[in-house]
This record gives sequence, structure tokens and C-alpha cells, in this order.
Amino acid sequence: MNAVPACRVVVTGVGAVSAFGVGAETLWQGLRSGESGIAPLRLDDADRTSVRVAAQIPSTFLPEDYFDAKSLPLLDPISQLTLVAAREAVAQSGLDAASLGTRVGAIVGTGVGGICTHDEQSRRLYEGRSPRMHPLTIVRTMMNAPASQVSMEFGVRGPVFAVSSACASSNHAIAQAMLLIRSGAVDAVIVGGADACMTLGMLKGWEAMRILSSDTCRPFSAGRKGLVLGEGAAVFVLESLEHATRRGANVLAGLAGVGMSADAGEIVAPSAEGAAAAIEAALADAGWSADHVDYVNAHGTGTLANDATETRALHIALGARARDIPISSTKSMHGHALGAAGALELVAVLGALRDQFVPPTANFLEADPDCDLDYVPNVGRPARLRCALSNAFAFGGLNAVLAIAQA
Amino acid sequence: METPTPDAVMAEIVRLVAERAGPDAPPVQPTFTLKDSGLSSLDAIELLFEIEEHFNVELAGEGPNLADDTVQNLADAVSEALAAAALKAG
Repeated sequence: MNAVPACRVVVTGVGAVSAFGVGAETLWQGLRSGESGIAPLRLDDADRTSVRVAAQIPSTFLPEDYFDAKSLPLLDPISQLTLVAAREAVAQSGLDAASLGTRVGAIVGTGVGGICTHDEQSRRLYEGRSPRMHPLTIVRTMMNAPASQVSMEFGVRGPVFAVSSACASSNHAIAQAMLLIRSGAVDAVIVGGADACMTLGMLKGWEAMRILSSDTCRPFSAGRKGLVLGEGAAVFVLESLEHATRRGANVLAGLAGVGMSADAGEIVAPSAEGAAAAIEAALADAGWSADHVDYVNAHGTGTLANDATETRALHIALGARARDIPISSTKSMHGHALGAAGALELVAVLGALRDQFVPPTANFLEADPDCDLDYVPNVGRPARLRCALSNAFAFGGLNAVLAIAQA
Repeated sequence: METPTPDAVMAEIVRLVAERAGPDAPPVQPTFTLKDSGLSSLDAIELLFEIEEHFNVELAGEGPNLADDTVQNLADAVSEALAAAALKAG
């Protein structure tokens, strides 16, 4: 068995809010057992869209349970979800960010930022219901609002910013955090990804692209019809191994490497070569060979194009090893949460490495000749897992892959 | 407004496809798939938007199948949608 190189950056805290509710453990237990967070769409204007299903935050999530009346007007749903996830991650890690001065950062990936606020306020204005916008519209909408809110809540005074690369935003954000820690610029980063964009305008935009599924999300399966939109946030505390060890923190996993690439091709059509380049770069960065890889959490959106292309990319990057390892898309359960996708999927990878258990690809019907790997259809299974990859491939041809090692 | 005949619909769709495919593409034939006509997947979804706007109809939600859907299929779908709308307006 190949030795796994030590990781200089480690995960010491994790938190999430997803279609399964509040909590990283809630999300992982749902994914582990193959439950679906996909349900009929809840939206006031549901009759104006053909979108029928989505993986939304449960209606039992009440912002008032988490925020007082003074802070709520400052928080678009995306910032609410980010903060709830960040509180869980920071509490688990025991990190005292405020004591670290500029040696701690906060980075949040998002595809669209506070779009609920923008949508709601624009609608009032454009429909002539109000001649003015709410004065907090800008600070709720801005892409960096979730990162800034994390900074303010935890006293993070080092590098704080947003990262945006559509569906790869989370992985690019985590990559930035890892590189900042490796560079020595900071000791720790509170990092994650979030999106909450179930507005009529966004849904109609996706509808017009004709890649949404009318029934459910069936990644890599014959009969798949497209993706199902989701929402949520997941946040992690990343630290240098040295810093975590010094303060006696519990290490959940190692972040072994990242690989990033761009297709420089089409704005929506994915490229197997571009995706493979990111996977290969992640392996190289981690100091792994293809034989190290025990599990891949796929981008697996459930669209015809992505799943066939991602399968080709895995063949290119992993060679014969691709056929020997389990690959699953948890988007089949938590939906495609866009800028939050990679972060929710990292929760799945951490759960998989901890429990030595591969989560399934749900809603799988039968094999598609263009997708010829082991996608762990419908039922998860125990496996010996030391090293995992987590893929994210975004519109715009932006690819980011994480390499994660068992603690 | 009078409902355009199937021939008129076909002529308009051929025009829209040809415009999008550009001058170097082969002349559009009803039996061509969108891919044969020289369209990329992005072209295809933009084309469907143009057709919906032009005829004021809604085409089915799931994506165009570049490999199998022909220009004729598309024209038929538009004519059916127009006939259904005319009936409704009755």
C-alpha cells in the first residue's frame, strides 16, 4: 500500500446547513443512508415556473432562532446560512479567531451572493410598489457579505474576501485558504461556500438553459434528465498542522492538495481534458499517484453532458485505477447547491473518511454506456478509505479539485 | 393575429437556424439535426429562446437533443404549440 504523505493543512471544524437541515452530522447521516433532500418546490410564484423540484433548506429553519431582531435586517439568507454553519465549525474546532490578530482569515465562495435581497427589492421598485430600495440592500447583496459577516462575528482580522467561480466557488475558496496557510501568511482560515438563490428570476434563468430535471437528480444513470437546484452552506476551520497541534485541536482530516484548471473552451459545455488537468494537478499537489485514490466525490450534476464528460476525465486522469474505486455524486441527495456544492460535498468526504463508508449516488436507474464506472448506485457501502478526491467543474470552464486524506 | 401555416413556421425556423449557424454552415435542411446544422449546445438553447420569443410559444422544458432533434421536429413542436394557443384563444 502506498504511504500517504503528511498534510501541512488540516481540518479541525465543520458545520453545514442543507436540505437536510442544520448540522454537518445531519447532512452526513442523510447522505450516508441515501435519503433525498429533493422535494416539491416551495415558492410563492411556483405557478410561473416549470421547475417542480428543488433541494431547499427545510421550512423548519427559522432565522429568528439564530439571529436577534437587530442583526436579521443585515442578513440575506445566504449570510444566515453561512453564519449558522460557521458557528458550528468554529465551536467544534475551538478556534479563538479574535486572539489571532491578522494571522487568521475568512473566505466564502458563492456563485451569486445575496440574490434574494436583490430580487425582492428590485421587484418592489420595478413593479412600482415602492419608489425606493431598502437602505441595507447593497450590504446584504454584495458577494463578500457572507465572508464579512463571518469576520465580524468571530473577530477575524486577517485576509477576508469572497471567491466566485459558479459551481466551483467552494473548492476555489478552500484552495485559496489552503494556499494562504501553506504560504505562512496565516495560521488558520474559516472557509466555506454558500448559495441561497431560490428566487423566481434565478429559477427562470436556469429553466431557460433547459438543463433542469423535471423529476429528480440521477447522476451517471441512464434516463437522467438534468440537475436539481439546491441551496445551503458549509464552513470549515482549516489550520496549519503545526497550529492545530500546538493548541491541541482535534484533527478531522488533512487537506492534502488542490488542483485548478480552466478549459478556455466553451462557456457551458464541459471539457474532459480541462477537468482531467485539475484532477492531475490535485494528485501532483498532494504528492499522490492515481493508486492512492480510494474514493471520488464527483461533480456529478445529473446533466447528460457533465456526467459523460466527467467519466471521461476520470479515465484520463486516473487510468486503470478509475475502474477500481467507488465514485459517487451526493448531488443526487443535497441537490446542486451551486457555490455551496463543493463545501457540502466536502462534508460528505469528511464523513466518508471518518466512518470508512462511501455514500451512494441516489436515484440511479440503470447503467449508461457513456458512464462506465462504479457509481455506488442507491446504497452506500463500507470501504477502506485513506485518500479521496472531490471534484467541482463550473460554468465558464473553471475546475477545482480537492485531495483530502484521512486524519 | 392569424396562425402561421406549418410551411411559414418551417421557413422562419430555417431562417433562425441558418442565421445562428453562420454563412459557412451547409444550407439548413428539415431532416438535419441541430448539430448537423452547425449549432453548438449553447447555440441550441439560444435558438429555442429566439423561437419562443418570435412565436410567443413555450416549448417543452427539457433540453434540445442535439444529436436526435431535427429542424422538422422543432417546426412541428412550434406549429403544435401555435395550434394549441389558437384553440385556447378560440
